[in-house]
Amino acid sequence: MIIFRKATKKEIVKIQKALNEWAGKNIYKKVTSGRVVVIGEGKIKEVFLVPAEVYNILDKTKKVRMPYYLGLFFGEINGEFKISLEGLWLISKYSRERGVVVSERGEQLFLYGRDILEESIIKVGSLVQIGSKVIVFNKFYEPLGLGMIMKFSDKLTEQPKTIIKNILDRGWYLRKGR
Amino acid sequence: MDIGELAKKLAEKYGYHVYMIERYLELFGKEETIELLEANEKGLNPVIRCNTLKISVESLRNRLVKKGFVLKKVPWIDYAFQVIKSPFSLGSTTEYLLGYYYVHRGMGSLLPVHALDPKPGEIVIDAAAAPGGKTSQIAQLMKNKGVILAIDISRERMKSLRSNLSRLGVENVIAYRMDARDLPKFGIKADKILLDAPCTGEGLIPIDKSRKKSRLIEDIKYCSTLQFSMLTALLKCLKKEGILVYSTCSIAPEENELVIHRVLERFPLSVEKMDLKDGLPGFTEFFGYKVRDEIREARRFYPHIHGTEGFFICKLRLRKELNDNI
Repeated sequence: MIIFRKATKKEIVKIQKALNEWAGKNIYKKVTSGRVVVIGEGKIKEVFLVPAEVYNILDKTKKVRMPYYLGLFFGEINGEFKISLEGLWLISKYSRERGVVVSERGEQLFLYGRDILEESIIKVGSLVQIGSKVIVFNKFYEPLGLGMIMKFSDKLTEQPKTIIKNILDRGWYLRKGR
Repeated sequence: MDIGELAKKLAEKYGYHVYMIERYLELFGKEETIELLEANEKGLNPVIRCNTLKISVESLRNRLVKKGFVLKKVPWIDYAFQVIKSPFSLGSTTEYLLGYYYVHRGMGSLLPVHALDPKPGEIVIDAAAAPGGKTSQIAQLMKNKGVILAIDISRERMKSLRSNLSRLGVENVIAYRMDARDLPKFGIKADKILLDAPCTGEGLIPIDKSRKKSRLIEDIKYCSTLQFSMLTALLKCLKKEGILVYSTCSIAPEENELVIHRVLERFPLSVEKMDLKDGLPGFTEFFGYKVRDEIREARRFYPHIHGTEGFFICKLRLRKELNDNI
């Protein structure tokens, strides 16, 4: 059974730390304003952002029955905090500089779970570094998912090339989320 | 030709159980029965509901039209479109994956929430919630403010509910996998309740042809009993003057008017007029039953008349709060 409870101080620190890296120090306050950070603890620890009114209902009903889930799934804690697709949606407008913009072709491939090749990268944010996680945006700055930007040497041309390795993309809703 | 012979002939031609055609002939007469059977053969255009929690109706329409979709506004709901032509699968576009719309199989399923008219800040129960189409429509009308208790008993369908509500950015939900009849144990009183009840699904034949043969007449009785027991339990979770919208995608009166009649006989309820610009009045007489006149205010929708799934909707108001012992 999954037990739902408020996040501990230690868990909040982990979430804050991960968020700060994405979007600076105020981001935690911004995304949790009016919301309670709730942990669903079963085999894994899931993190939910729960509007205060919804949390009140949890408080009233949890003695009778635990919910299946509640609020907005924000991520999970497995050692470190890993943000979810909807978590990315919330923070993305504050973290454009940690993102890359890709072409329509890149968008399609990425949403099919594929990596993004250099030719599909249109713009790279000023805070992006090789080896770091990046938010992958389409041309409208809509977050498509999460990638890791990497450099490698092309075997044929021996030229250094950049790719974005797919970590998480919204095509998940089509492939697994039904 | 007598009714029995005609029913047999039509059942054979269109591939139905004979008992279904006999019932249609009694309810609608020969001409309308044939119109209904013909409309069921044609199928329905799917409908997309713009998720106004994430995007405006105009922006979504422009993006999809640019991609080659042909859309037609749903007459009664200003945030939904019938899809006349789609160059891609509706469930695989970037806009779908970003949570900008939800796909409904027909226009009828948009109506119960429209009739419920949920408002920001209210407590609303969606008692048969999965896979989340109506729950997310409620959330968007509530602007993600207030609380929705989304209840469903199916493990598999709860996964779909969670995925759909996440994709659509719905936050104000607490979801329980449970029998809705156990809800009174929570002691919560809601402003509004939607019971889109489990049913034989006879109205879904335009979308799912297997339903022509998949249900027996005994299933109607079974569903009617289940629907009445769910409705009875849910009324205990409603505030005084609270609203309950009851709907099914069945056109069988035993699953609709008869269920409403039985609760009206037992509880302090009134049938409310609905702000629906279409639909036919509920039956007050059928198959030898005579039910209360006010059930006329319920609405019936049909594929051959309204271009929707077969659907029934009734809006009830609770005049006096009930306690658990009733």
